[in-house]
Amino acid sequence: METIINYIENLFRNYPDTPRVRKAREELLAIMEDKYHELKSQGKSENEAIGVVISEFGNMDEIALELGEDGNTSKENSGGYEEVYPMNTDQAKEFVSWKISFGYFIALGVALCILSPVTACILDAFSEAGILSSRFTDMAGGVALFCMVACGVAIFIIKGIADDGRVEKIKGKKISLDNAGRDYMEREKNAYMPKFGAFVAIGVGLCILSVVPGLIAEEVVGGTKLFWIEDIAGTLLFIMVACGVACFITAGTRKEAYDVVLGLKKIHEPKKKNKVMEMVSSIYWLFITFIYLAWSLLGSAWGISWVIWPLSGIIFGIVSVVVKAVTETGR
Amino acid sequence: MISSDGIRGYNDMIILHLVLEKPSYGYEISKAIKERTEGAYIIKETTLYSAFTRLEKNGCIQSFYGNETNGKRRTYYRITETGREYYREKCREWELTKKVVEKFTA
Repeated sequence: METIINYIENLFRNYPDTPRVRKAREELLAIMEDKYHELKSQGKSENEAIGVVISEFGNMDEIALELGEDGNTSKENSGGYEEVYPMNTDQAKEFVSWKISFGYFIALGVALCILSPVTACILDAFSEAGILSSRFTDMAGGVALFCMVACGVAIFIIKGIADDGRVEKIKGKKISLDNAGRDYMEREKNAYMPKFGAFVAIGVGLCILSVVPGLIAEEVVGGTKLFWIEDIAGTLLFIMVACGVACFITAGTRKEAYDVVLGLKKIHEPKKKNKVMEMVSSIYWLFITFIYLAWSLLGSAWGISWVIWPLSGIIFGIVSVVVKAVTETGR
Repeated sequence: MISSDGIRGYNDMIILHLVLEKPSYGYEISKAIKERTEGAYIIKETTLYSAFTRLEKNGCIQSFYGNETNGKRRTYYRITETGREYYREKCREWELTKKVVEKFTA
């Protein structure tokens, strides 16, 4: 038995002492020990028993995934194993209808955010037309803007948290649907695809046409006493974009739902994280925020200091390319 | 003896079949596989362990500690509803695979 324990200790020597590694070592040893005792009780000699147990142990590559190694090479060794989540027809139907309603909520949240400046624009038009005082309209418009953004963000957060468990179960897994469910979902998806195309076309059309009302208004009332109508027409831009984006989102999530249950797409596939990149970016943005605040406060430069954001965004793009190149060639 | 490559896709099904009968632990499952196949398939310990962790992560089986025997506490596994469904799915898949492979058997 000593030999078997030593054998296992040796195999695990290069692994970190994490709970997962400890559990694997214990479980494997337990099976080997049981097998060893059984062989001995059948009258096998010490050497024979050890020989059989070790020859039937297998290959550490197979459990490399469980030990938390980077999946790159070990995945191939264990036969390209994909994590599979089995689903029956009812579960799939339930998932699709949940995902569709989820899409409506997200579309509503995004629309609220896009529409948030509309109240301010309309009130601004009234103040320019001399109907309302600008002090009132500025304040009310600002309040309305923040309220709408807050509602939109609240929807994202509440929906995100409420449905976290559901997504967590199937995250990054390939869904394996039973045959009846597969047939059903393929029919549903095929039936939906023309509508999907129509929604995307309508969405694109609305986004492109959104500038038209403003242009027309400028042509017709620009420079006249009714110039404030331009502002009202301008709000149509937000409204049309919001409707267009809502089309994309609802159609996109519904199509995604079908693709997920049909196993064509995984939900929230975990991206390979670049640890160095994460560290660099957190330090970088902290540093930029510090410069922004220092410059603005000490130099009273609130009017101009915002340029730091677009500039540092571009610089960050360059930095991330360099960091990725350096870290990934080093592997 | 069967090659472990050939049977890889069905280790999960074999294990689920055995825990479907009754909750069981590592060696008991390994022994049952060997005995029922009359030694034609001996599952490697690492194959067995990786299947356990994967099945548990997918919610197909649940592990729990059994009663202490000879000062040892064994980890037992029992099947879940998800596991039953997955098992049935794998059985259907096997029926199809068998038909396909048979078309090309001499």
